[in-house]
Amino acid sequence: MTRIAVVGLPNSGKSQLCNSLTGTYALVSNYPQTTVSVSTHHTSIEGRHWEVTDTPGLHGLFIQSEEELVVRALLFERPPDVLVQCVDANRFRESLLLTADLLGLGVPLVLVVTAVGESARRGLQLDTASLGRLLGLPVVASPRPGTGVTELRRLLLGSVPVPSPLDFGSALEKAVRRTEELLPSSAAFPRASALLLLENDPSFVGAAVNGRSALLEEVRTSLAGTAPRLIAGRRNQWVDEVAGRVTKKSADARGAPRFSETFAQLCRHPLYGLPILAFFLGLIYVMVVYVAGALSLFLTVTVTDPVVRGVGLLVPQGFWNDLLIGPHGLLTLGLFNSLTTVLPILSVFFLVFGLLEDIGYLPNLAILTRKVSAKLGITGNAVIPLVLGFGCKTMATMTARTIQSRKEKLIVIALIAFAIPCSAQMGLSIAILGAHGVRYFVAAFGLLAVAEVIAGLLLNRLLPAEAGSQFIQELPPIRMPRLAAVARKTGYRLLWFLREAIPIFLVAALAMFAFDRLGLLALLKTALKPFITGWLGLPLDMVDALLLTFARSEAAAGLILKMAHAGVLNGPQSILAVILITTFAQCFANIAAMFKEVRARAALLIIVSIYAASFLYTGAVRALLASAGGALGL
Amino acid sequence: MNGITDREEMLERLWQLGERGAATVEGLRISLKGRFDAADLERLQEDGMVRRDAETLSLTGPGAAHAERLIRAHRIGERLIHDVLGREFESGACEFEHILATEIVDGICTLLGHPRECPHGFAIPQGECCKVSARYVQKIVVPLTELQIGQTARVAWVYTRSDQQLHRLTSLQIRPGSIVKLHQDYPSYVIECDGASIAMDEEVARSINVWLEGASPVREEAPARHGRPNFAKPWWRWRLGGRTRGH
Repeated sequence: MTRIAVVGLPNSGKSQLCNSLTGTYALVSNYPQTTVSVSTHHTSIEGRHWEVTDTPGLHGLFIQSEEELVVRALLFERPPDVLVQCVDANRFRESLLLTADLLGLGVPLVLVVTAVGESARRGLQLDTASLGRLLGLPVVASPRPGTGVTELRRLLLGSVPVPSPLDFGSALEKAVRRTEELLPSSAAFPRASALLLLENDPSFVGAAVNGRSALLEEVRTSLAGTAPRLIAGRRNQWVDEVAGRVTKKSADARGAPRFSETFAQLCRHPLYGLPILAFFLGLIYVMVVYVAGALSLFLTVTVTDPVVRGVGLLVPQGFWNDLLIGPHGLLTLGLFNSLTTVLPILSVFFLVFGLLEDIGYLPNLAILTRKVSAKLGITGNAVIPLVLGFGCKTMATMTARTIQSRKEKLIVIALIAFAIPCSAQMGLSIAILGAHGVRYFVAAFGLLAVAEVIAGLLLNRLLPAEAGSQFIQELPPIRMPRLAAVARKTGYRLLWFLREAIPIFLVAALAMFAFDRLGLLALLKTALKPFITGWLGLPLDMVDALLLTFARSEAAAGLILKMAHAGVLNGPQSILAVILITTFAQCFANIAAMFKEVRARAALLIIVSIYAASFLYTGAVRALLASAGGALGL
Repeated sequence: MNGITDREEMLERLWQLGERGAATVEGLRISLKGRFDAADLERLQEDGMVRRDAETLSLTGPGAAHAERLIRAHRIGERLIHDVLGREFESGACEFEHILATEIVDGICTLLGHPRECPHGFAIPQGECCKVSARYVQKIVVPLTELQIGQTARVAWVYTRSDQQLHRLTSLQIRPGSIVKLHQDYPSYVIECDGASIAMDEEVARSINVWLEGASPVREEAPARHGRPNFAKPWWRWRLGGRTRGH
C-alpha cells in the first residue's frame, strides 16, 4: 500500500481532489476550514492499493493554528510516500511558500494547480509546464474542480523525491547543520526540524531538543539577525524568483473591477450588505415556506394520509394501532415525521444554503458582523466558526479549535450551542413561523439575535479578560455557484440525514411511546406544568417536543410544525416554541464535540447554563409579547 | 585598542545580549570574538556605564541610555539600507540608482540639506526638491490605514509582535515588496494581496507600512467627511461612518 497525503492552503480544493481521486464524497465548500480533521480514503491505480489522506489547510510547516498542527503531526509521525499539493493559482506565491517547505522534506511531491483560468481572468497567467521544469516536479493543471485526475494518477506512479532547491546561504546553512546535530537521532526530517527550531516554532521547540536549549540559543545568536526573519527573507526571495519566472500578467485581464469583486464588497459593506443579507434570508424564507411547504403537503396527502388511513382500517384500536399510528407512533412520529415533514424542508433549505456556501458568501457575512461580534468578546478569527454555526453546530464547534484564545473559544462554543439555529433547525423554524406570516419569522429571529447578544455580553463580562487576538482572515473569492456540485452536496447531506436520523426518529418514537405507556410522560407533564403552561404559556404537549430534542431537534421541530399546522399553537406561541427549541435543543453530536474541544467541566457548565437560560429567556419573551406584542402587530 | 568606537561597540553588544537574557563576560567575549579587550570593559566600569557582579554584566542608567542611542542609530541605518536600498543589505551589493523612486531620492536629498557634490567631488544633478528648496520631507511611508480605498501600494515594512505573527503575515504574502490594494476600511480592513482578499482589524492594518508610490504626495481628492458620502466616487464606494482621515 502506498500512502498519499493531499495538502494545500485552506480552501484550495483538497477535498474536491480527494473526492475525484477516490470516488468518495466529503463536503466541499467555497470557504476555509471546511475540513478540520484528517480523513482517509482508498483507491487503486494499476492494481496497486493507494491510501489517500485528506487534510485540513496548511500554510507551512511553521504552525499557525491547531488544525495545522494536526497536518504537521501526520507528516512527521507517519511520513507519507507521496505528497500531493493543491496549488491555488489565485494565491500562487502563498502556495509556493508551502511548496518550499514541502520540498525540504525530501518526500516525492506532485503539484496540482487549481483555478488557473480564474487566476488568468484576475490578471495572472501561470505557466504550469515551466513551473514543472523549473522545480523538477510533476505538475498537473486542474482548470475546473475535479479535472486533471487521470493525469494525476499517471504521475503518482512515477513520482520520485527531488532535492530541495532552496539554499539558505552559508551562514544559515551552517546554523541549520549545527541545529541538526542537536536533534535526537530518531528525529524525522532533520533539516525541516532544524529550520523549525531556528524559526522558534513554539509548538515544536520543547519536545525536539529537551535539555539542549542553551546550545540551540547559541546557534541562534551566532547569526547576524534574528533567525526567523533571515529564513523568511530567503524563502520569500525564492518564491519571488520562481513566481517571476513562471507567471506573467495575463492578456485577457480586465482593468475594471470584476462583478465578483464588486459583489463581495457589497456583501461586506455596512449599509449595502444588509439588503443583500435580507435578500438571502428572504429567499430562504420563500423557498422553505412555499416550495417546501407545498412539497410537504403533497407528500402528506399522497403518502402519509392514505397509509395512516389504511393502517387504521387494518389494525383495530388498541396497543398495536397506538404503536404504529398513535400520537407517539412509529409511523407517525418516527417515519413520516422524518420523511414527509422534515425531509422536504431540509432538501430545499440545504439546496439554498449549499448555493450560498458555493458562492463563498458566509465569510464575507462574517466581516459585516465584525463590529457587533467584537462587543461580544469575539475579537479574532473566532467570528468564522460562529457564522458556520448556521450550517451545522457540530462542525462549527469543531472549527472552534482554530481559536487561540481560551476565552474566545469558550464564548464561541457557548454561543454556537445557545441561540444559533443550525441549518436543520432554521429550515424547520422558518416553516413553523411561516404558518403564521413573515412578521413572526422576523420577530422570532430578531429575538434569537437579541438572546445571542445578551449571552455574548454576559460571557464577555463574566469570563476573565485575556489579551484579544488579532483578526486577520483570508476571504474566499466570490464564485458563480456550480449547480451540479450544489445538487450533489445537497443529495449527500440528505442521504446522511436519512441514514443517521431515521433510526433515531424511530427509536425516539418508540421511547416516547414506552414513556407514555408507563405513565412517566403524564408524571413529567404534571411536574413541568407550572413551567410550560404557567411560565411559558405553551400547550403541555411541548413536553413531548422537549423530550424529543434529546434525540434530534428536527424530530421535535417536526412535531411542533404539526402542532402549528393543526392550530394548537397561535402566532406568539409559535415564536416562543421556536425560541425554546432553538436554544434548548442540544444534539448529541454537538455535545460530544463540546466535550472534545473544551474541558468536561466547562462543557457541562455551558450545557446546564443553556438549559436554564433557555427557559428564562423564553419566559421573558412571553412577558414581552404579552405586554407589547399587540403594539408590534404580533 | 582602547578607542571610543570599540567601547561603543561593546555597549551595543551588551545591549543586544541583554535583549536575549542576561549578559555575562563570557557571552560578551563570544559576541565580540577577537575584538574583546578586558581593558575596554574596565574602562566602561570606571566610567559608570557598566556594572559587573561576578560574571554577570549589566548596563547602568547612563550606560543604557548611551547604548540605546547607538542601537537606534544603527538600526535606523539598517532600515534605510533594508527598506530603501533593497533587502540584500548583508551582501552590500545595493544597486542604489536602479531601485529608488524619485520621491524617495528627493526625501533623502531634503534630509541631507540638498547636497551639491558627491563624496568623490562630482556634481549631483539638482532635483525638483532642490529647485524649490524644500525644507520638509513628505512622508513617503505610511500605515496601510492611511491609503485611500481602491489605492494600490507596495509594502515597505511590517511590524510584528511575535514570530508567529511574522509567519502569519508572511505566509499571506504581506511582506516588504508585496503589492497590496485597499478594498474596504469599515467594519474591517479588507485588502487584496497576491490574489487573495484578506480581512483584518485596524490594529493589524496599522502595523503594515506601505510606500506612497507614484501618487502625488498632495492628495487631490478631499477625504470624505464623517457620515457624509463622497459623491465623487462610484456609489458603492461611498464611505459610511468611517473615520475622518487627517492629512
